[in-house]
Amino acid sequence: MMAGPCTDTRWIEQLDGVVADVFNIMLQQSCEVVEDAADAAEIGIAAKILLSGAIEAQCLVEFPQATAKKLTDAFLGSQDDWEDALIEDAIGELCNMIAGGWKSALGATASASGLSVPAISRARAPDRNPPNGCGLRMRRTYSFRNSPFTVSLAIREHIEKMNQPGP
Amino acid sequence: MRRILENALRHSGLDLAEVLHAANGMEGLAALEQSATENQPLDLILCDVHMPEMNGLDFLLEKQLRNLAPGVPVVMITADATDPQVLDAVAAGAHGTISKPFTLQRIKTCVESLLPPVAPPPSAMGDAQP
Repeated sequence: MMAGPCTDTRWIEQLDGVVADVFNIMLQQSCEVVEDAADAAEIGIAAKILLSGAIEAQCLVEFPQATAKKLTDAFLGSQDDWEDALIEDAIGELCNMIAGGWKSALGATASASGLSVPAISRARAPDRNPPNGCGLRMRRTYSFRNSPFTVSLAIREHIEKMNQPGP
Repeated sequence: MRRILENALRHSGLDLAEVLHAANGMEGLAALEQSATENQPLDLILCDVHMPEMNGLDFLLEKQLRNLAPGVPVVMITADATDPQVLDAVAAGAHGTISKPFTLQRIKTCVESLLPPVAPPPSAMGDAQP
C-alpha cells in the first residue's frame, strides 16, 4: 500500500485545477497555491465529505476563522458579521463543489460513487484520519485574499491504478 | 447554499420579489404546503440534489405524490454532474439542472427561461396600443 503524501504531480495538478475552477467560476476570483506551507496555526472551521461506492475517498477543507469570513463575504457579495451557521454553510458548500468537481474529473468510473453531505466541525485539530485503506493522500494549502486554507484528499489505493489523471 | 444562491440571483440582475428558504427536502415540502394553504403561488423551485434528511430527488418525487405546486418548474442544482440522481430527477419531471460552480450568467439564463413572463407596466401597454 502506498503510504504518506502523494508525490504524483498529475494528481496534485488535478486537485489544484479543481480548486481554481471553483473560485474562478463561482466567485470570479483567484486563489493561489502556497508551496511548502506550514500548517495553519489556527483552524476555525472544517468540512468533510466522503465519497463512497466504486471509489472511496475523503475531501477535507480546513479554514482559519479569518479566511472563512472572507470566503463567506465573497459568496454573499458583501461584508458583514455573518452568523456561524452561514459561515459553516459557505465552507460546506465549497467542500461540496471541490469534492464534486474532483469526482467529475475522474470520469465514468466515479459516476457509481456518491458524495455525502458535508460534515462541519469547529475544532482546533479536526479529525484528519481518512477511511481505512486510503493510501493516496494529498494536502494542499491555498491562499484566498491573502489568507490560507487547506484542502486534503485521501483516496483508496485501488483507484490510483484505475483512474490516473490524463497527462 | 440557499443564501449563496439567492445572492447570486440578485447579483445577476433578476428582480426577486420574495424568496422562500428550506434547509432540506422536508422543510421544502412544508414550505410548499404553506404556500398552498396561504394561496401564494410560487414561480420557480431551485433544489439542491444533496441535502440532509431528504435529498432533492426524494423531495421532487414526494412533491409530485402530494400534488404540491403542480406546474411550477423545478431546477435541480448539483456539485456532482455525474450523479445518477440528476438524471433520475430530470426523468421524474425536473425542468433543468445547474452544475456548481455556476456563473451568474448561467443561473440567470436558466432561471429567466423558466420564470413566467413579466407583464409590461400599464404605460408600456398603452404605448403598444394602436
